[in-house]
Parts: sequence; C-alpha cells; structure tokens
Amino acid sequence: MIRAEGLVKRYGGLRAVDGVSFRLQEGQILGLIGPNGAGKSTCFAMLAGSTPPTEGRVFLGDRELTGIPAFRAARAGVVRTHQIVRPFAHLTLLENCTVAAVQCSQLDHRGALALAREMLKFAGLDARGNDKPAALTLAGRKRLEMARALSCAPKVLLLDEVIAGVNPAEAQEMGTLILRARDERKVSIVMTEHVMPAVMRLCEYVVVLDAGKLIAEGKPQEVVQHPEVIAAYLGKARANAG
Amino acid sequence: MISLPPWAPRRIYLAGFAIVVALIALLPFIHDNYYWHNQITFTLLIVTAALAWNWLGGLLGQVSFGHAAMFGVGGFVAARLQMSAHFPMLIGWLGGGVIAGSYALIWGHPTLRLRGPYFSIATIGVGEATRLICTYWSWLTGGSSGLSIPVDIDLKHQLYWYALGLAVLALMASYALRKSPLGLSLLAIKSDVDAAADVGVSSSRLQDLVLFLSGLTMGICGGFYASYAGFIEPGDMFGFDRSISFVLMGVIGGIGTIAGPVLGAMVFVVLKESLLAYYPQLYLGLFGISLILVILFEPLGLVGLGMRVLRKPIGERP
Repeated sequence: MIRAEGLVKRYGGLRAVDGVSFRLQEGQILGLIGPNGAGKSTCFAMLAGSTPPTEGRVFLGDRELTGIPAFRAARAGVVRTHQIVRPFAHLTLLENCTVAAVQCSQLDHRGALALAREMLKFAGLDARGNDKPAALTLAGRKRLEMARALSCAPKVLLLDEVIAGVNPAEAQEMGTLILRARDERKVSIVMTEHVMPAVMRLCEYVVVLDAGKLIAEGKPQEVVQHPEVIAAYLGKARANAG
Repeated sequence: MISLPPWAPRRIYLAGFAIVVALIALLPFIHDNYYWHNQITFTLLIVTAALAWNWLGGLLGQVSFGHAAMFGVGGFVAARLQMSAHFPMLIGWLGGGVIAGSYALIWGHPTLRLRGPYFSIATIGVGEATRLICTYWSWLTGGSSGLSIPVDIDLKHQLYWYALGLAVLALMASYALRKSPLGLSLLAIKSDVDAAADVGVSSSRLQDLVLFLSGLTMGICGGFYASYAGFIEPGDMFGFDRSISFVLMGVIGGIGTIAGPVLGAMVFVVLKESLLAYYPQLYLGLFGISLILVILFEPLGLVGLGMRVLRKPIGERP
C-alpha cells in the first residue's frame, strides 16, 4: 500500500531520519518502534505530508505522494492521528467527524454525515455525538481521533501512539478497535507505540528505528531478540552482559 | 418542567424570528418617529456589518482590526459609481462590495498565513495604510473634505427596509454558513489549523473564500452607509475606531455565535448614542471596561451570560 524509499529529514546538521525504507502490505498492521527521539514521529509527518522529506520518496500504490501538502495526502487516502490528541474544540463530536468525511470521503453531504455517524458508533461514541470534545476523558479523545481519521475513509491509517497514556482496560479496548478498523474498515495501518505488549499483540511486522536509522525489521517476536534492538532500548552494557 | 418535542425549539425560534422581522418591518407604519427610524436603520446596518466581521473573527478565529478598510472602500466605490458613472444605487453597492472583497483578498491572502495576534497586528497596519492612502487619493474619496452624495428624502425613508433586508440576509447567511460544510471546516481551522489539514481541509483556500465574503458584505454596508448618510469622508469611513467597534460588538456579544454580533451591535449603538453626546470619554472607557470583564469572566460575552442563566452545560455551548 504505502512505500517509503530512503526517507531522510535533516534539521540543520541533525539527521532526524536517516535513510529509512519500508513497505506496508495491504491489510497489514505495521509497527514503527524505537526509543524516544528515534525519528518515528518525523517519519509519520513525512508520510502524512505534514513536512516534506529532505530526500527520499513516498508512494501510495503507484501514486507518488512525496512533498504534497497534508490536506492532499489526506484526500489521497493517507490519514494520521496525533500523539497528543488534537480534537476540534469548537465542534461537536459528530461535527468533528463530519468535517473529515465531507473533505476526504468523496461522498455527498448526506453520505458524509452517515459515514461520520457510523464511525462515531464504531468508536463507541455515538451517544455523545452532540457533546464537545472538552466533555471527554483522554481515552475518549483518543477514540475520537480514531473516529475522525476513519471518517476520511482512508486507505492507510497512521496511528501515532494511540494506546500510550490510557489505563490497561482502555488500552485493551483500543487494541481491539485497531484490529476491527483493519478488518471492518479495510484499512492498512502503520502505528508507532511505546507500549510493547500492544505492539506484540497487534503488529504483524515491526520496523525499529534508533537515532534516525533503521536498525531492525521483521516479525515482532524475532525483532525483540535482536541484539541491536535490545541495545537501543536498554543500553550497550546490558546487551553485552546479556 | 414542560418537556418540548425535539422539533419544537427550532420552530419556536423560526416563528419568533419571523415575528420580530415583521414587527420591525411594520414599525414605521405604526409609529413614525424620525429619530427612531434613523436609529433602527443604522442599527440594522451595523448588525449586518458585525455579522460579516464575525464570519472571519468568530468562525475562522482570525480577529481583524482593519475591517473599516473594506467598509470605506465599498462606500467610496459605490458613491463614485453612482455619481461619476451614473450607475443605479444597488449596482453601486454591489460594485463597491465586489471591489472591497477583492481588496480584502489582495492583503488577506498573504496575511492569513499568520494566526492569532500576528494576524490582528497585520490588519491594524492594513487598516491604517488604507486610511492614509485613500485620504491622499482625492480622485476617489474627495480627500479630507470627503464626498457628498445627493439623498432623496423618500429614498432615505425606504432605505429602512433595505437595511432590514440586508440584516435578515446576513443573519440567514450566518446560520447557513454555521451549518454548512464550509462553516464546519472554518471552525476546524479555528480549533487547530494543522489537525484540520490532516483531515483534508485546505485552509488557505477556505480562509480566502470567507475573507472575500466578509469583505464583500462589509463593502455593501459601506455603500449603504454612503447612500444613507449622504456625506462620507475618509477619516470617518476608514477610522480605527470604526474597525475597533466591530471587534467590540463581536466580543461583547459573543464571538463565534450568531446571536452575539446582533446583540453586541444593538448594545453598542444604544450605549454609544446615549453616552456620546454628554460623556464622550466615558463611552470609550465603558467599552474598555466591558471588554476586560468579558475576556476575564465570560469569553462568550452576552450569549455566554445567557447560557449561564439558562444553566446550559459547557459541553453544549457553541
């Protein structure tokens, strides 16, 4: 579905992302993991068009998305959520989703409204459609991010730490929601996550970044055994001792 | 507590609105007092302008301190179209509106990339520059001595209903805009411009569109004012206090709501009228104090105060 080729992002002398390539298969959930500052969020920003890559290219199927603005990437079918939730505070929950559906789904107004309602229901927020986001808990707002992104009718969903920061029961529900999004809404998913149990449960394939470089990739169970991955997370001395 | 069926409030509002409009329309036949005729015409005009300001300041959250520029451009272009080119009045207004809207695009397209206070500061510069340039351009504005437009006394009487028509149109446009996909997108941009782009909202195009609509309506109001007042001069039309007055009406009434600018404009005209003659300093001071009170205690102004009285929970407020 989505293909990143040699992505590089330089901020002055700092190479935040340094030659990262990966490929997301249709219907796959791909985990993009790594310690803080590894370049995960920058990768996301380049995939979603929030910031253009310094070098490298991004493709959705045959279509090249490199350097197009975020609103065009969203309309093309690549939609992201935000690590720190960013609901539209001035709109009701239903209106939050309606905006996304109207702009991206290529349905008429009536169809867009129906899709928005359906996605609110999907995220379990249908009873609160007329509330403002301020009335929701953090877990509720994270679900709203999901519902709003899905209202775009995306082909690829980029989930930026949607599980981190909520309690274990809510994390379990969020994981189930992600699997249902893949199965019922037919989206392919790239997710970054710090909560390793969730990564192990959800992702079929994992790409590990450290200091902007891709250091390992493969099935999650294999990747966590990889010495460089252990070193990146726990430090060199521990890895050598182990 | 009487519970109403869900469709009832909407019908009650509509009926109430129709009754108020009908009353205002019939008022001159019942009690034709020149002073009140004048006051109501002027209030309706200011209501229209305040609503147009609110499309940009309230829905999009880009607070303009330079909207007198479009009011003035519309007024002078409309006056010139009628006096020098002998166009009919309505064509003059419309021409003034289109020129004012286009002028807004010229300065607005680059400055709308700024957000919040930075945009507001830019609009102060635009407003003042427009005032100075137009004062020097006497071929358009007649310079500091202004322009006199011949006013027919019958026409002046009729302009009352034109003003009512403008206000009703602006009110319906505000309501339609708030409920339309465009209005939702504008509120999304106001909430978070980057997150809006991430769900496909093209902010620069929509911002330009709403600025054009706001400038167009402002220009039409300027044209109306020229026809009604019969005399316009740049210092008044482009004055900074005129620009400020639109901000005050929006903020005191309730920024981003539809009733807000209407209430704010009415309060503004009444207070200004009753205080200006005897206490000119007090009137500006009073507005300054109410602005501080609103910002500190009730960010939604009079509308927010009303909701507090009706005990509406925060989640249901506009």
